[in-house]
Amino acid sequence: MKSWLRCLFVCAFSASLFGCTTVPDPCADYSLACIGVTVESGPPDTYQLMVRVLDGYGSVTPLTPRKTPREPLVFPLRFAIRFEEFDRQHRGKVVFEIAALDLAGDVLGQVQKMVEIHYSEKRAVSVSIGPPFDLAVPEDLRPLFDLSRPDLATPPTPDAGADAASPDGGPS
Amino acid sequence: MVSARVGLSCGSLGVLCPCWAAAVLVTALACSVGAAETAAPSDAVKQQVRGLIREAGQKMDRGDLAGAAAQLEQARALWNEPTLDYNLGTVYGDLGQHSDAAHALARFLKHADRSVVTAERIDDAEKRLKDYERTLGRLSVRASGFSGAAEPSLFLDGTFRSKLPSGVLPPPGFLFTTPGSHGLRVSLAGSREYAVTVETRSGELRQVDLELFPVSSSEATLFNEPEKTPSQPEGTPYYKRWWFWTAVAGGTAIVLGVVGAAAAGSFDRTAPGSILDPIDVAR
Repeated sequence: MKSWLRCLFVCAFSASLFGCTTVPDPCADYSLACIGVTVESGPPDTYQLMVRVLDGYGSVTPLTPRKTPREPLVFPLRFAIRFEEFDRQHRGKVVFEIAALDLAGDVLGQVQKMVEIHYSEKRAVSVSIGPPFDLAVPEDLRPLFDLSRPDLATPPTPDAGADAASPDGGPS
Repeated sequence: MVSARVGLSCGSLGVLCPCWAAAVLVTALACSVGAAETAAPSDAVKQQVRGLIREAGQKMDRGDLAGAAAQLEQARALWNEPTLDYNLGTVYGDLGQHSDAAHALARFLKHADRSVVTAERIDDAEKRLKDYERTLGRLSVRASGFSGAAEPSLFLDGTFRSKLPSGVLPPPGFLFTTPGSHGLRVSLAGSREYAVTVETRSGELRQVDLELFPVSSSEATLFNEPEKTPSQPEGTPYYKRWWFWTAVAGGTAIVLGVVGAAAAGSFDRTAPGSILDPIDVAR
């Protein structure tokens, strides 16, 4: 009898141990094109995400969750980007950007992702939010005071300044 | 005639009797007087031994060697008299039981009172014993691993041969064996039985050292007969008991329930994390 009870216990324990782990699908029950986004990690004090889809798409509810929660969000975060029917301007891919916001609405981190999606496809995407984008213009891309210089990618040389100060002031 | 060759005499009496019965009776009683190592039996025992010896002599006269040996063994059990050993040695020799004969002669030579036993008889016993030592094998056993008070039992070829006080054979300290293979077994209550096959050769003394290990509790459970409760019918196999099939049915139902619940996803878990509101986009 003891062996029977032991066997049953092992069966029950195994079943509970090896039961499946269900990952919720944010796009479930949506019939049109949808991107199921999983944000695996990000800044710890994230209270909201601001989602922006580039390429001419817009949303009246770019923030998720809609209301600011009392506690920071717990990663991983899952949400859906749901599209209406694609029009002719759709190029088969979209780029979306996610910004992590703190309690005051300041950006803590950002990530951008391009996803190919057609018709009514469902795509699952995982991203991690990194630091905010550096929007400052790189040093070598800043316009020189000599606007006549054709190749902006070429770093300025000391002579360039001398040339710019040429008496005629015209293009070289 | 066997009895003629095995005529008995004892010590100073120097009696050689043609009649076995008279000879054994006289010599046994005469030798008992001089036997220092044997305790004096009561008159009733002496009377009984006399009767047994007389019967042995009569059986010898009739050629019933086995019967005579049995009578003499019975007499020896009552009265451990060395002369009986000499007689047993000669009878066993005639029976072809040479190892038994050698043992009896060895006992005789060890315990016989040389002052009362004739030199001729001693010489004869020594000569016979030397022959046996040359033609038979000898087996010595030394057992250890038990308390000193215990006396393991030694079996040779399935027959009890001797106790092992202090772990060794009583004097002369070995068993005579016919040359060849023998099953040796030593047992003691509370210890694992020791069993081995030994090969003995003519004239060879084979020493066997062994250790008796105590029986563990699990082994004791294995070997001990389990207690039977009155509610268990004798001889009914477990699969014919009501509780066995009840347990099988119950167990099967539980297993099926668990498997069904697992298939239905009852044991599934939701991955950790937060579900956020969807973002609806359009041009």
